[in-house]
Amino acid sequence: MFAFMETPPILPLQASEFARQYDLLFWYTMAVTMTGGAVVYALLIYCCFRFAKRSEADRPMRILGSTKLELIWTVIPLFFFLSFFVWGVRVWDYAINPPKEASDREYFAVGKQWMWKVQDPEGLRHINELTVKVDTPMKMTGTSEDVIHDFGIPAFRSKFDVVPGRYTAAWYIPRFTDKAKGGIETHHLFCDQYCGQGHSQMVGKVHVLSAENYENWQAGIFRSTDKKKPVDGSPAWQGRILFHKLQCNGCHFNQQVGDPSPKAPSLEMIAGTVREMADGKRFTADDQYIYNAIRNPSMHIRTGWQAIMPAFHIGLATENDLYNLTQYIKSLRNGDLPYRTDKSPAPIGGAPKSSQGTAPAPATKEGGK
Amino acid sequence: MTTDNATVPETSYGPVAHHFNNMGQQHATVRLGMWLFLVTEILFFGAAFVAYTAYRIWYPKDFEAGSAALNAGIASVNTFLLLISSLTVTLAIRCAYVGNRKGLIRNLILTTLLGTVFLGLKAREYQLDYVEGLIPGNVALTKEAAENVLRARADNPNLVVNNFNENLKVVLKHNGFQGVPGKDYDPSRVQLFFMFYYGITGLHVLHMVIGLGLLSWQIVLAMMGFFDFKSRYIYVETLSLYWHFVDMVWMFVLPLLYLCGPHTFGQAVEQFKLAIGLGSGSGH
Amino acid sequence: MTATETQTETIRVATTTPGPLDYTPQMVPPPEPTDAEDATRKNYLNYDYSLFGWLFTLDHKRIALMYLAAVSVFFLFGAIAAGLIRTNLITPTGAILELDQYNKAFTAHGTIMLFLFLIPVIPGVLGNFLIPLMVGAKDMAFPKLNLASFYVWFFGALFFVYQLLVGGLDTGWTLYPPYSSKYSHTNVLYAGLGIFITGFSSILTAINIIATVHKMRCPGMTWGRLPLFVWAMYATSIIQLLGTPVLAVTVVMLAIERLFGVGIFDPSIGGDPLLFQHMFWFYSHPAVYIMILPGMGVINEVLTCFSRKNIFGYKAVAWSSVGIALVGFLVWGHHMFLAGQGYYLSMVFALLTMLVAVPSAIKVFNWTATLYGGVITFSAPMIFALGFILLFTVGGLTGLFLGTLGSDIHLHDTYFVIAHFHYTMVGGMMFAWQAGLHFWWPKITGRLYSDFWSRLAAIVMLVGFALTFLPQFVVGYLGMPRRYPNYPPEFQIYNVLSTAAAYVQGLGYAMPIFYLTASLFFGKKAGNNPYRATGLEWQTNSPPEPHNFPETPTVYFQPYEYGVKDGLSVVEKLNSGTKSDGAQTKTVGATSDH
Repeated sequence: MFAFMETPPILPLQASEFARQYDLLFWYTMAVTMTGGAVVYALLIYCCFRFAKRSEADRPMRILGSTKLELIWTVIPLFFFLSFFVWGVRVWDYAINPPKEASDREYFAVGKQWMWKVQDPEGLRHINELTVKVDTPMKMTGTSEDVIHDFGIPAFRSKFDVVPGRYTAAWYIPRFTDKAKGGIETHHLFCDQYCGQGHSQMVGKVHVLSAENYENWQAGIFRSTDKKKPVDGSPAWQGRILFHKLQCNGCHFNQQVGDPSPKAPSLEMIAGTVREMADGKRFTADDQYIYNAIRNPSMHIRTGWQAIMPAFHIGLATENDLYNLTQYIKSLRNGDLPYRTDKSPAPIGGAPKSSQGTAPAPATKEGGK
Repeated sequence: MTTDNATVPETSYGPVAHHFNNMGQQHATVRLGMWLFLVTEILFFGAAFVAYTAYRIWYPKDFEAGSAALNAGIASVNTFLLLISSLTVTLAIRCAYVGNRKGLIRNLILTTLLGTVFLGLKAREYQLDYVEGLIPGNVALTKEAAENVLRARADNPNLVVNNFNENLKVVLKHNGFQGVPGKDYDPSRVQLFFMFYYGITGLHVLHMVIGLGLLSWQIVLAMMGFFDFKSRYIYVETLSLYWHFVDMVWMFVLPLLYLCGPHTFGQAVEQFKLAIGLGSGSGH
Repeated sequence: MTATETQTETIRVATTTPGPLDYTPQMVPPPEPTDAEDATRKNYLNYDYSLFGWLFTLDHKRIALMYLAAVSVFFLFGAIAAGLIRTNLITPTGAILELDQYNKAFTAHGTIMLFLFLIPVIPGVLGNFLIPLMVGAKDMAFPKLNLASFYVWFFGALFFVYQLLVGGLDTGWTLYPPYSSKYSHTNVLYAGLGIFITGFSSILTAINIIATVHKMRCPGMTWGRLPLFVWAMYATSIIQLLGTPVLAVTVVMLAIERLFGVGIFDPSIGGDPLLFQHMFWFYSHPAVYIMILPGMGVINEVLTCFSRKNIFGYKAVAWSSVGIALVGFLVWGHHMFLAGQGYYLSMVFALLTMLVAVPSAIKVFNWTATLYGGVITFSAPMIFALGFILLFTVGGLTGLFLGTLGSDIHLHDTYFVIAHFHYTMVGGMMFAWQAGLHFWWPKITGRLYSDFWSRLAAIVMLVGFALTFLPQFVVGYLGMPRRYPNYPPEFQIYNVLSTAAAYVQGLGYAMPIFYLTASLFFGKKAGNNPYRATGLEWQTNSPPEPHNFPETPTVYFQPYEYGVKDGLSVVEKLNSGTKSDGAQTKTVGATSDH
């Protein structure tokens, strides 16, 4: 119940270029106001001690005012307040005028009770998640489907209201902070305008990725959260649909209780690993390997497996399909391989329908897994 | 500044309230109080007018169309009624000032009467708006429903449908408005105009009703001899200030709402005749 | 600071001898009534014990007491709502409330505290009670209107609270559409009606105060001799007069949209939700000045009395109240910097916001200078007043962060804002209210309360309050949004600290109930002027008689003439130096050691 395990944060992270500029203004304002406050406090406390009543004979001074002092303590605060204004306008100007590079990469957010629908320039869609590339200017445009919400990212020091019936926008250049590890850093996304019951549930994550991770993420290979599926719209996402449509999961499935043992190797985490073939050769599972394994499986029969996989020639799967499937397979992490359902029939163009059990096939070796 | 000796009549003046020093102070204070209240009323209606103005600047054509659908005839007659009632209530002050009880009662009754006729015409105007179907809301007709409406109207031109856009088009056609819906103006937007129309005129009606209530009360008081103390003219004066204010609001409402769109004199006459039942056939 | 500053004034000398109740500073106090006299002397409390006499009273003092009772009860409701909020925030997933209930709780807290406590409290209680006394009048300008104003407020408030209890209101006190007009399932319409009704009372009280100050001042009470509390109340009344009607029409427009499903803020027909925000904040920003100016007025009175010194810069303080009132109408857009408001419009509002901060700064410096060279006693009102200066300074300074365009971006709608306005409203206004209540309690009730317990309560409140909201600045800068019943776990420690201090604060608020009530039964009789304060209200008996003064007083001197050589001698000096036209130029206050 009490998260005393970690030291609580004192200062927010500076995860964008604007955050750095913002913090300079903030701390300047803080310095001036704290100094002014300290002066007042010091004077007050001094007066309370020095002029406390000590005896009945004490008499007060008779001071009615001083125009000079009034002017001094009107002009000096005014000067500092105007300095806040001027610097504030400069910071404001930076924050709300996206440069051209930012406008070229436009993200779109739609707020609705109670979720954020976010779409990136390439069309990949997420709910309550924003994934961006580090050091790259980007613009975020928003609107609302129902009531007024606010798209706020404290680590970027940015927020803007999203209003139904119009578009509003902000822009960022995400940066890594010292705490970033492994080319990914995650920050909070909040809804900052009260919008009803789920206002506090309308929170999400902002993932800042290194350039390489971002490429992989766009392909659907790199996933910034523990979701089982690749991001909506990515090649890997489309590959996943194909994986089911072409019924690859008829043989390549995650075994559950009650399932027969899989007839095909697990495809999880195979990208880049070295695979041993039945004939003793070794291949690295790169994109070409996967491609060949789908187009012409008999080229690479793995040790311990039978050569029962049908070949998916161009009529069954286009080159684009194959690209998507490859990205999907590369994206598979432990536990991501889909399960088999009762409705999973035999794979296309392959062994007879009764191949759920043993599968006699030409020129194969019997064997275990 | 604590005493304000206006030109006050000398004889049979009137009792001073317990917390005032003299009648002059009492009068000055009462007058100031009413003016302060009127300042709040200016802000009240003023805020509504500012909001109206914002939208009128954004949607000029739509607001013209909306105004063209209003009944300028009733509005014109109402304006005259209100102006005359302001005259009669001012005459009432003089009557109270000199102690003319009969004149006071007569003028107050006249004012009340004129105000009541105003309200009656206003009610008729609202009724006509309702009958013509100019009630905002329910704008999205499906395609089939829209076609049904057109077919039904071909049989019965006076058909009222529970759909603002269609009804607006009918009314504007009848009034000879030149704009083309969809091109020159957006019927959905005209609903904004009508929300202001009902809202602002409704608030005005509310203030008139209150004013009529106060006038009636003063008539009763006058009949009971309350104003036989001539110093009490001040209360007729403060009521007249309120009444003038309500009149002034109307003088803003008229051009903002009614004169925003095109109307002709002939149209206004015809509309007024329709209102009082002398309409030429195409009455509802 | 250098030696004392001098100012020359023209003092018109009266031609008649000053009577016993004339306002002469630091005079030897008039003989206190003996017990025998006291028993027969009628004051506004004991001249009539009937219920009718209370319910239909025209006496501004009794009306003030009715306000006091009602406002205290509503404050309790608001405090309970606050307790629910803070307790719920102990855990990140919400300790005691569902999401819906939390939303209703913070809305109830905001609306009750603002409309049913902060806005009516000082004008309704201290303003009603003291203004006629301070200007030397027998009553307010419109006593029947005063009573009507109370009942309108009271029944509007009852109606409003009823709506909150039955079905609730969950839009936040800011009522933004489209949520409040189309999506909320709560009593927006009736709650809005309740707010509309209580607004009437605000307007009527303002009319009364303005008319009283203009027309009912006693002879010799010129504008330049008015206590600064009256100046502050006058400025407050101007704001109420000009601002409240705009809220009224805004609520009406919202109610129409809610009732009929279509309205002027509806985007689907071309309406603009931002129009509501403009209209709403046009009132609600000046509203915060309605809340704080009376408090500042009280502080003037308390500080001068307990440092035995004239206010430093009377004109500056008086004019700064008016300046805040007027410029305060020009800055409403600083609540909407991120709402999609125009670029240049935001800059205009930001600039004006910086300007409106200046008069408040001037006041704080003037108050500090008032203490300089004084003889300070730390009674309970004084501790509250000093606490006000300390806390309001923090509140005001943090407002600068929010009024600066760039820095508002990160801080808008976070706990930083909440901490800011609680420092100004609670640390400022609430403490000023306590200062005023404690200062004038002897005048209102004729009894003295426990010195020890009141000072202890002041310190408990001060410490409890300051610690409640200090962590909220930190967690706000970290980004924790407002109006969140659930929050990320790393913010928990700040919320826990804040809640713990909130309980201490609540204890502080409960304490006056006990010792003030006890004073009614067991307190020493106060006498006319237990604090030896200047001010007309202290020259008549405590509690005051029904018509305030036995005969209309006449005023000869400036306010806050503490430390002037005893009054009679001064009058003699003036009389000896009379010129033919009765006027005399006199340099007042050289290095007086009195």
